[in-house]
Amino acid sequence: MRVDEVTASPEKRTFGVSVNDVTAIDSWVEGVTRRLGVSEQTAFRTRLCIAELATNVLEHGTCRAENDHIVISIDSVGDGIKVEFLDTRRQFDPTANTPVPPFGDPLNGGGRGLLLLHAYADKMKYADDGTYNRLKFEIALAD
Amino acid sequence: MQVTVEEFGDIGKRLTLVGKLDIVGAQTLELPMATLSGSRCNVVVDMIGVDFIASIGIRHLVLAAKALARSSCKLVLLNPSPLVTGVLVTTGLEDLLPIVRSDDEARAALAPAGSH
Repeated sequence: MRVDEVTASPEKRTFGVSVNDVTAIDSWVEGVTRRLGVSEQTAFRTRLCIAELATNVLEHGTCRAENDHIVISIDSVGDGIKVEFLDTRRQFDPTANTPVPPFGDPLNGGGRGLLLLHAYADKMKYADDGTYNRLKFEIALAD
Repeated sequence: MQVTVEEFGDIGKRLTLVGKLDIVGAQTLELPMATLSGSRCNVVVDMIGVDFIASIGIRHLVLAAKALARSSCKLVLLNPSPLVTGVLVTTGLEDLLPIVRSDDEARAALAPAGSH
């Protein structure tokens, strides 16, 4: 795991791409949501969306840079949590298709992570700047 | 993720999970779940101690349920938290991964068709 930078608001951190990093990401996100004082449900949804993205990068992403990494920033906005998730792997737009159940063969597990992302994240916007896949989204505050 | 296996009466096994069913939890679960899947017995997955679940964890549950079904056995999920239940329901897998709320409900779900 690499930890390159930590800032105050928004909270931002850089991770590598490994199983240990996916675990570290979740622990960090859990801490950030605790510091933001959001509800258990909002925290859970934020953790889930970020875990799905990080796992997707690890399992399916194709390297396009030597210094493979993920950068996550989290900030509170008026009515929710704003997340920016960057990764250096090959272009992949998770907003391109909206999976709906039932989907595919349950054996291959494909699409379930994206389904959850689409279910819980709002205002998703994707861009590829040549270095990063950049996904922005928001998690609405819940009781 | 902590995983323990014990008998569930005389109709199957109880697999108790405690912790996060994330990428690491799924790895921890893989071997005991594969062993149970090959044992041709019903499985009750006690989920009350699972505080987080991601799609990779759900994938392992689905694989186990499918393998058990091929042996005419069943897998049910016992008492997942409301947040975990929400994730399971969102994935639309209630038929393959039925949720029960008590040991009695689990027994009823696992009982052979036509039995009392």
